[in-house]
Amino acid sequence: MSKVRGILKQIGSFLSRLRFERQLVRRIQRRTVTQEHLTDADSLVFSQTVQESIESRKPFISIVPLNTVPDDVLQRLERAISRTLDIETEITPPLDLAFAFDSSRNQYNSTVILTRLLEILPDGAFKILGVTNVDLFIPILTFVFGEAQLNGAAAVVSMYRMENELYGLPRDERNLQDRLTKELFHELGHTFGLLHCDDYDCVMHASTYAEEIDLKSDSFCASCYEWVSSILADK
Amino acid sequence: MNKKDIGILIVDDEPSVRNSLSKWFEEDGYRVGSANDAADAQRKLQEGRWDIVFLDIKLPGMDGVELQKRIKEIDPHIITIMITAYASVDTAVRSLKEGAFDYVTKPIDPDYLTHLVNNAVRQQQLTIENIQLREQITKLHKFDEIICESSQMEKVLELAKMVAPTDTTVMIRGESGVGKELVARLIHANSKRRYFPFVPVNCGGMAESLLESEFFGHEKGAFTGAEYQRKGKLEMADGGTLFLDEVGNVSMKTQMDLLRTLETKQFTRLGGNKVINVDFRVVCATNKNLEFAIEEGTFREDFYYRLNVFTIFIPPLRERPADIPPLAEHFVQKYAISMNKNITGISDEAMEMLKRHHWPGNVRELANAIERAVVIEPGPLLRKEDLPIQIVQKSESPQLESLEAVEKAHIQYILEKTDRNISQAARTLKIDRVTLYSKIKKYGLK
Repeated sequence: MSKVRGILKQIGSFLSRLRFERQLVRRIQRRTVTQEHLTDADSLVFSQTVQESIESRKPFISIVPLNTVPDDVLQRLERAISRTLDIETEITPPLDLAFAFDSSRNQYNSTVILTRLLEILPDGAFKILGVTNVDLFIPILTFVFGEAQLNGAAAVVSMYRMENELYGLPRDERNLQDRLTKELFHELGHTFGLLHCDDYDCVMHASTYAEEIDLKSDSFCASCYEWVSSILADK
Repeated sequence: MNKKDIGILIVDDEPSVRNSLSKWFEEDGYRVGSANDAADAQRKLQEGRWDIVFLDIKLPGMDGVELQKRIKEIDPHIITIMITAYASVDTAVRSLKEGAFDYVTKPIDPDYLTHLVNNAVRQQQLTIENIQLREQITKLHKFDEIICESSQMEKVLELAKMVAPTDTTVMIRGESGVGKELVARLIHANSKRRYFPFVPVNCGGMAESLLESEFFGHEKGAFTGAEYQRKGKLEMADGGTLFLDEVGNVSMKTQMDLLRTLETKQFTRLGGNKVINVDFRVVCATNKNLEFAIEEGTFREDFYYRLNVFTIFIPPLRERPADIPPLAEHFVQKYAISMNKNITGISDEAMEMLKRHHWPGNVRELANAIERAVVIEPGPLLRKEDLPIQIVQKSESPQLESLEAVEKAHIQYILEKTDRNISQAARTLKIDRVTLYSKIKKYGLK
């Protein structure tokens, strides 16, 4: 009996070390700890595994909350990106948007935000996506849902104009998340070089008002998906 | 048209406006260019083709409205959309008067901008399509498309060519099947009215009451069955040509109504009070002897003089045998292609037979005879056995110069055509059987 108990203890200990190892690798990848934080013993035990993980790390997408964005919203976006494109993501600390505020329009200039996002692109990230709940504009238009660098690295998307409350309708969190996810993929698609798609169901179909976002799906059509996949395959 | 083929040029001195608009249209897939002032814009317009130009009203050096004028001089079909920071009715009216497609105030609603560009693109496509169709119409009916080699038909074409550009009323006379409508269409296609409708009305094919409604149209409830308002042919021909085929068959009452309309260019729909103004040219055709009809009292003299301004007479096919071979060859080629048959021409024997035929149905009969022959002939040449015609001696023989000889030959021809069926032959000749019998006896035709 004591022999069985001993074996179980060993198994438990092995599993807990394994879980710890995985967490550690993930934290290092996300830069929430560095190798200096490890004890000597940890370093000795895990250094090889951690080193290998860091070296073999794939390029990832950095998600930047602009001003305040609820954590659950960001986590859902992370899951959607991982599910659709199988790319790792990283949520950075929030960025204050005061620099992009235009007092004459009482809105935030999305082109200025894109420029700043490019400046803070983390090492190893190949795309940086800003998510916000403030009203965005580009100089010629009254507002934009988002903006992206065509064939570039940065994109920004706002949920401000997607909220039903703005149009006198009851708040609908699920609908808001759906719209945000679709527009995030849409702007992300532009960073992969995709133009607006004529397929009404494709996420790359242009939407100029909130209800129009609801008409399309949250996925790429076959040809747009093929285009994105071919670029991701080279990463 | 693919979006990549549509060029949008943005002319604005503010870089942020140029860049943001350029980016917006690039994401939509358009070919985009930008210019920061009038000189730059004019240079870009000279260098390449642009379909839509967004123009800021206030530009350094030259006013946007003035630049728009210059753009229209370079290419009048370019669509210009004016943009301004401050809405001003004066500038809006000025630019629209100068031919701007629309006028927008910064900042623009994205949904409105999308619709504006879609409409501008549609307008541009329609303009291009319209130009292409006009070119096609101009090419479509040329005088050299009438197949003829005879001097008589050359004279006909010369007259048609002469009268086509004018607005003169034309009367085309000739037997049934000589191609009166074809000449009428050529006159229309070579007139200044060619981009407007050519409206043919077969005056011989309808009852008087129907013909009246056909010409003038009717209001809802004008008569039993008039459930909707209907435009008449006169209204439909506005700007174009009204072709009155078989005008000799129009009733006296309709002649009077038509005469009034032709004189005043005004009419009212049946059952209506509203006077409708129309502008059309009249070309008419008849195979009847209208002068005889006037004497008989079945055709109004004033109507006759209104129509008989410029007369073109198309001679029957038998009087212009030189036209038979080219016409026959043309029809063989036409039907062989449409029926996908390998027939390259007509045998000498068959051609000889065609030349010797009397052709009472003229070119229409020739076309039908060739069509039938092409159906049954496997190829490669059309043979005389394929032709559904019988040879009648041509009037080369001196005996046929007398009236009696012609009568004899014609009775002989009809008897052969009807397989010597006396009743049928008498009906065709419009004489009674007793007279036919006596003529057969007289000419020894049995």
